[in-house]
Amino acid sequence: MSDFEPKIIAMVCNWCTYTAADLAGTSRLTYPSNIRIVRLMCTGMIDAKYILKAFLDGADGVFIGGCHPGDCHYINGNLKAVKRITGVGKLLEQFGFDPARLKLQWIGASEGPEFQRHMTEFVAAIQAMGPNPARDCMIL
Amino acid sequence: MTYGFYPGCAYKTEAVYKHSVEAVCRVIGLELVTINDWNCCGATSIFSLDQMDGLVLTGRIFALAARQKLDTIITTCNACYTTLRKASKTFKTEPELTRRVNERLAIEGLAITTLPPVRHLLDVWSHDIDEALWSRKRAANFKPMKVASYYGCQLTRPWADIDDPEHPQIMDNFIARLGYEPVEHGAKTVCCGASHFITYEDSCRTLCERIVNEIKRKGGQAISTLCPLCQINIDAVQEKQRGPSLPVPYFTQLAGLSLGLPPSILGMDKLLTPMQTAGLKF
Amino acid sequence: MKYEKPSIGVYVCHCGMNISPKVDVENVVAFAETLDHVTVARDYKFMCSSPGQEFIIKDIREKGLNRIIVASCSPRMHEQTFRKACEQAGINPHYFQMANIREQISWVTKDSAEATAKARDQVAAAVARAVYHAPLTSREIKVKKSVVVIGGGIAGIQAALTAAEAGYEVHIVEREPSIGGHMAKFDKTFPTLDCAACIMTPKMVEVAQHKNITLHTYSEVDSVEGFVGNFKVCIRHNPRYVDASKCTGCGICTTKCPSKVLSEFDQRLTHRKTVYSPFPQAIPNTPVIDRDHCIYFTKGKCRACKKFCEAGAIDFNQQEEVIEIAAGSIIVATGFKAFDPTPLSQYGYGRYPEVYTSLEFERLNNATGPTAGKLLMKNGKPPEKVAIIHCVGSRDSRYHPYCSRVCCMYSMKFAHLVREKTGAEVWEFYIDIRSPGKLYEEFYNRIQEEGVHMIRGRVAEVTDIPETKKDEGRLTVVAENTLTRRVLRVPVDMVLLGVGLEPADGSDAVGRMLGVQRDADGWFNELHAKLAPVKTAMNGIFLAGCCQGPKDIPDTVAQASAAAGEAVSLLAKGTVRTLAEISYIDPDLCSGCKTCIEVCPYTAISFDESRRVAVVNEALCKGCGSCAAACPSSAAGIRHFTDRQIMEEMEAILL
Repeated sequence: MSDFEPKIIAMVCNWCTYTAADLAGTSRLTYPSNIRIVRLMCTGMIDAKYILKAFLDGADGVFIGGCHPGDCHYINGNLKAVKRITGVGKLLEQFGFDPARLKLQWIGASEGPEFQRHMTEFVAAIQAMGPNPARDCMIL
Repeated sequence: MTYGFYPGCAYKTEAVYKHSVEAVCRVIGLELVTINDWNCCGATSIFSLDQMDGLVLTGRIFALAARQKLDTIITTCNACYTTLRKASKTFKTEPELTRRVNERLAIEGLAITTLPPVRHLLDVWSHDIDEALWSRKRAANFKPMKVASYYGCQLTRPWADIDDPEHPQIMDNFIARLGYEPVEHGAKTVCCGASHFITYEDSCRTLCERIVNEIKRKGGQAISTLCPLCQINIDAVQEKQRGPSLPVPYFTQLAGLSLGLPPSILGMDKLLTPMQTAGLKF
Repeated sequence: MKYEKPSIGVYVCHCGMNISPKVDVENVVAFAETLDHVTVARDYKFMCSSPGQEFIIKDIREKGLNRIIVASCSPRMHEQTFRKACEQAGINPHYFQMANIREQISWVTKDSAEATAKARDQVAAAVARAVYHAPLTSREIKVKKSVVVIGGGIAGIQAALTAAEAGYEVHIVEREPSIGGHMAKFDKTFPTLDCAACIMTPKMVEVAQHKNITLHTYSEVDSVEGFVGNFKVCIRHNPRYVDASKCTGCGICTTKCPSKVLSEFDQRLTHRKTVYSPFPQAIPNTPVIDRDHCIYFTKGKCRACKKFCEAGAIDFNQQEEVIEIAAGSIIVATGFKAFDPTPLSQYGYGRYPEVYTSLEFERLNNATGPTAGKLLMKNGKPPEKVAIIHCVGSRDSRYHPYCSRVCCMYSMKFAHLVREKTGAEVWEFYIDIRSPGKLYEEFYNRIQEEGVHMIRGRVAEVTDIPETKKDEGRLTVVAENTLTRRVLRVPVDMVLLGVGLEPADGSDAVGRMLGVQRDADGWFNELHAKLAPVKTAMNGIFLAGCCQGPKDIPDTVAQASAAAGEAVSLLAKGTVRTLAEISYIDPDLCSGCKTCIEVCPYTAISFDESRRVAVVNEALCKGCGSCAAACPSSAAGIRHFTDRQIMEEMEAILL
């Protein structure tokens, strides 16, 4: 599947992971172009339906990036995200998606190299998994 | 609960821990199941010489205990106590080393399968035996005396879980329970020189005398110990010291006296400084 | 509001050479022109430059654009720039959306075609979401022109005086019977050696006499409700059993009281009466009756104080009283607590009578202390040799990993005072000397010239086992001198422990009440370590002094002034502006399940019992979206991050 170029939605929080993504840029750290960033204020605002929507619309992977526990700009939004996203992972299985297509990662504002590493690794993991099955069996 | 017992090499030597441990356990109804075919634990020095050898020696003890399905390993010696605990921690956290030790143990058909907690007999007597039993069984003619507890370095360190590492209380509380009057002093965990007494006698003499003098200054009539090496060092150093000596019994012997057991079965005659020097008649 | 058909302008920036060779800008512009609602698409060398902004303004005015997309750098860089341009051209700034094609595309992608494809997606996403943007405004809310200061130590006093001088009404809440805090206990202050009382008591008197300051001593904050500009603070006045309006402060009650207990103010080195003022210069000077120890309260008779009080101020029936204060802002100045060195049993504190903590030594050295300022041991003799141990409880992974910042300096101050008062030999045992501050290093040099022995080594133990016969009865300090690599055994008469600082008791409760976070060590978190050192994440709540972290008096006073400055600057404007990107709850969809109320970290949502719906307090909401994600009826949403906007953004990328 080496020629498969997945499309990955990265929902990231404005304060940590979005800033880390900017830092990766200012540090000129390259990573695969398959990532499409959707900027949100906090991972705590990520509704389960956003993730399902992304997969049903054919996203091959969904990456969620937030602040490390204790660093949340809104006190504990990231912790609420963990709970919700763990639940969504289970839901995905019922929808027939591999829950490994959804990944939650804490990337702090100063962790540009971490952002690069996680993007590279996640793209490689999704490439190995192949395209989102919804692309074939649903009319999108 | 099956209390496994690891006697260690000094159990039957010097002041003969064995006599008083067994006599008192009989009276309080505590059954100790000795680990069959036990071997030397390597003592505290072995890990500095050869870690693998040390782990095989201690590993064999754990494997034997596992074969006998023992829930706990009790020791009466501070060196065994520390060495076995150190090894246990290594087995818990280093799977690769444990695998290699098990390879060597396999020659005998042994394997480390469980790591039961290693406890000092003082800990068991203090915490597992009903506190009131000691006073209930205390001899009618028991004469209280002032006893200073000397803990040595390895009961509380490096673990610091059984008591305060610098200023422990557990033995003071226990001998108080026996009816003795504990003596507060500053030398509870001061080093006695351990096995260096043989090679560096002069230096260790200074160390041991510091302990004895401090206890004399604070008015102790006897020094309670819980480690064979501490016991012999503190006892022997006084032979060449000027002035009256203090007897250095094990806490187990003090327990036996408190329970009214005959001194002859407690090994009291093995002490270099007899208990009678403290003005005690029995 | 009248619906306007979206008319979108897309502007793609070259950013000199930063975006353009990697991203094919012309291609992106051509693509943008094909998107729905796009009226105009252009590219320019530098969109953020004045001519770049002029393009946008001109197009809005001439072509009637009502949505603007700029594809350039990160919104963290220039979102405000372009929003202002939009505002200038007469459209709502929230009609603007940015696509980040520099930091997140041109700078991080190797292949040019891939970068261009990604840029097209992100522009499409921005266009798709912008269609659903709404004009947002924020509101101005009036603020109450008053400040509540929690804590009456030097930090609270300084903050209160600063705010009061600016003409604002200030309330100080102090749980002890008197203001003054720790500083009132000190004898001298480093490095200038001013007498603490001499510089402190005038400030305390100023507080008492200031027409804008109300003192609430022997009182605690019970609850805090509300939000920036409009806090409702409930203060509980504990009963003093002495009527302050009648008491003349003559002190006859204290003199006649037959019951004595150990004095907290004097660190239990001496006694106080049961009806007492903690120290002679106490403000207010109305005594309190310590109910737990009072003979009348415990045994039902005595009443000596009442008998002798000519003013008739003793009132055994006084009850606690809760009053409510409206405050525009709150300053937290709850201070610190000295580390209790008992767990470090090797230093023998509590076992050896001549081992003292630093606060005990401050009292021992103080003219109003137990020895009237004479430096004496418990046997009444002055010490001939004194050891001072640094870093007790600090820089120690078993207790506090941090440096308490003040101990080196106060320990050296002690060394100087011991030398000056008794001529005793002084041995200081330190790990590193930390003397960064104006005249601090000079003070370090000075005490060395005064003949203080400085030993670099952490003390292993303090023991009463003497080395030689003549040292019997003394304490021996054992340490390795790490510079000479020798073990030292120094016999001394007195040991002073340089104990560290830890957060004051009860700061966890204060933190919970105010919604102010604390760090792993328990200190209150400032909003930003460098750029907002006295603000907190809670708007309108500021930090002063040691409650934010250990600091000395000069730093505390500076920070307290800064906190008051921030508080006053907030109040001076008279209004606060709410955020625009905040939560709303559609009352028609709300089922009243209250899930949002539970998840809101700012208690910004309340329940309207009459309509049975949840309601957002716009002044408290910070727009985190916890409620939006948790709401099972999709009634809650965040403005500018609505479900529709996010879904459209993703759809544009994926379909």
